[in-house]
Amino acid sequence: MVNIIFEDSFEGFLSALFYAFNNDIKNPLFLKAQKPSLFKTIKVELDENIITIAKGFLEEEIIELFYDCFCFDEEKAFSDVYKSFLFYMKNKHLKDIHKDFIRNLTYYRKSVNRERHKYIGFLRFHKLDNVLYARFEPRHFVIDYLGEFFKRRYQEENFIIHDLKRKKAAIYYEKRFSIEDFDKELNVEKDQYQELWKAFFEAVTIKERTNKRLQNHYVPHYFRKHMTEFDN
Amino acid sequence: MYIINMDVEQKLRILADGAKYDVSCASSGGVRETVDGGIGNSYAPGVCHTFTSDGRCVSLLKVLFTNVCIFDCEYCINRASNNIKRASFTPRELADITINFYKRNYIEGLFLSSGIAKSPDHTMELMLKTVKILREEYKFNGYIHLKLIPGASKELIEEASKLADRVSSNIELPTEKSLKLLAPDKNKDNVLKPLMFVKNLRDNSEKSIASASTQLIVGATDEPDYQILRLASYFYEKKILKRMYYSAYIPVPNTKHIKVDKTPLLREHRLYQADWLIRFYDFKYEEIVEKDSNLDLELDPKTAFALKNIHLYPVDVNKASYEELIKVPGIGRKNAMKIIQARAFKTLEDIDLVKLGISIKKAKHFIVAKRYLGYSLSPEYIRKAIIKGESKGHSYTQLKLW
Repeated sequence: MVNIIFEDSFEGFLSALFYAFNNDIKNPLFLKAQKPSLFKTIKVELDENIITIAKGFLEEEIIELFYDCFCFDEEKAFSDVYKSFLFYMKNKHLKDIHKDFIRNLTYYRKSVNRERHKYIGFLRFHKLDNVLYARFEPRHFVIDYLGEFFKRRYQEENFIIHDLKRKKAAIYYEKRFSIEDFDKELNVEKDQYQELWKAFFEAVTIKERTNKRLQNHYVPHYFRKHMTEFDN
Repeated sequence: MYIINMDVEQKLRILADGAKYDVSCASSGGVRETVDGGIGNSYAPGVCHTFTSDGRCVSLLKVLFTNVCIFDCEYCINRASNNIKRASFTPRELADITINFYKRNYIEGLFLSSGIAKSPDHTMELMLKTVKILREEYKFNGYIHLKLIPGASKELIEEASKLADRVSSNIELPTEKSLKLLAPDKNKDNVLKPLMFVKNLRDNSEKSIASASTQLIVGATDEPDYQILRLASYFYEKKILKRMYYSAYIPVPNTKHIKVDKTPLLREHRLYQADWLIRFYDFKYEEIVEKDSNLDLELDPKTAFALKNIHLYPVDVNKASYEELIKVPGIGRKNAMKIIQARAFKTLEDIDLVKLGISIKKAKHFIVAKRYLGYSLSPEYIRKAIIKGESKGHSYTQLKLW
């Protein structure tokens, strides 16, 4: 087994896939950060042209699929992408869903998409001086997707979407967008609209139809920590 | 009827409370993009921003402009003769709440309904004023659903359908007889005409015109599901409505004509399932509900259909067309596509279906894979097996539905 360390970005990951393929490495394990290991470790540098190179071999939709699976952000997913990548290089398709590793990709993508979609609704922004600030702890790497989404929606605002778990943030400031390492949790204060929102949330409930189990099904507790309307 | 000075929070509580029985909350299907210098866009799949403790999705700031009303509809909590606290927003107040909620990502937009204060036109004008502040001053392009006030003038309805993404006018009751009985101030014309008028606009305009929906109260009067679904099919066929909402009647104090105490929510749920089959699965209403009767409460309408038409089954998953596959209880549109994709590589066995993540609990009675899965038994037996299977061990999935 060989550990392959890649730079923490999709381009970095793609570079590692191609490196492993070109050098015919057996049983590679793809890692973002170096963990102590008994196995041989190779650090793959980011190739600036990797997207162009990848497009020469892979269809656009395959690259998108790999990207979504990369966002799943677990080693198992990285390794299934690699196996699928090898399969694709040989067969020029990924339609054989009887292969476990190909079927898993559908699962990773679904899970990532579901979380992206949930947070489009569940993310809560706080109004600081001149910036809207949202913090949360997603399971997958979703701030890039959410950043792009809110960039279109709040084009005249500044915002920070802070992934506390990965210590990264999607930052949109004076119409420039970037993903950055972000370590410091900002202070938020209560404002009038938060109170109004809580009042509204209470008032629209039909008490005669209370069904907490159904509510838990749709908003599992792990989402609620950063949601204004739930007491934490 | 009295209005006292109250702060915005009190108003919001009262006017959200008064609007909550309108079940529509969809924010899907919008096509608006952010405008230069503006805020907001619509997101086609729709977004749920939170769920209240009754398990309902909150997508829009759903409020009444005012709960003052000159009408006296018996099923309505806001009717003139009901002794409740009354309140009204100003257009500015409501526009500001909307935009500030939107910036904090609490909502996809606004759902604005209203009691009828003074006159239909006066009310509609105030609602439009609110929406114009949002659309024109704040350049807000998020989702807006506007209720068309029965009896409002054509000009105002036209304006509403240009500013909003969705407009609606609640038919409330499936027959004019019931409407007369329970809503003496409304008539078929003033709830239906606005919808027809909007349809004509849509057919003859280059600009984008809001889609339309309506709501029916289920169980306050004795029309059967057959009548309700026939009406829904008519609206879908003529492309008058994009959606129909069904609301199980919730008792309102001091009613004279309404005898029932409570409609089972399950009936509402079955109507939605049937509606879905009509809109997305090519079923005809006559196929799923028998003349002058209600849907089967024990079984979902697709399963009920299958048991009545057992000669159409079993369906061979390795050969059946997409259209045949989606008529199998337990197999939806996505799963049908998965099956078609997967069988290109090998003949499917039951275990393959499970691997694909398809639940065969229900479907097994109606399909053939490489070998036969069902027990080739009578519809009566399958019926019992499915009902038993659902009440046993699956109480969770059952509970979550209503």
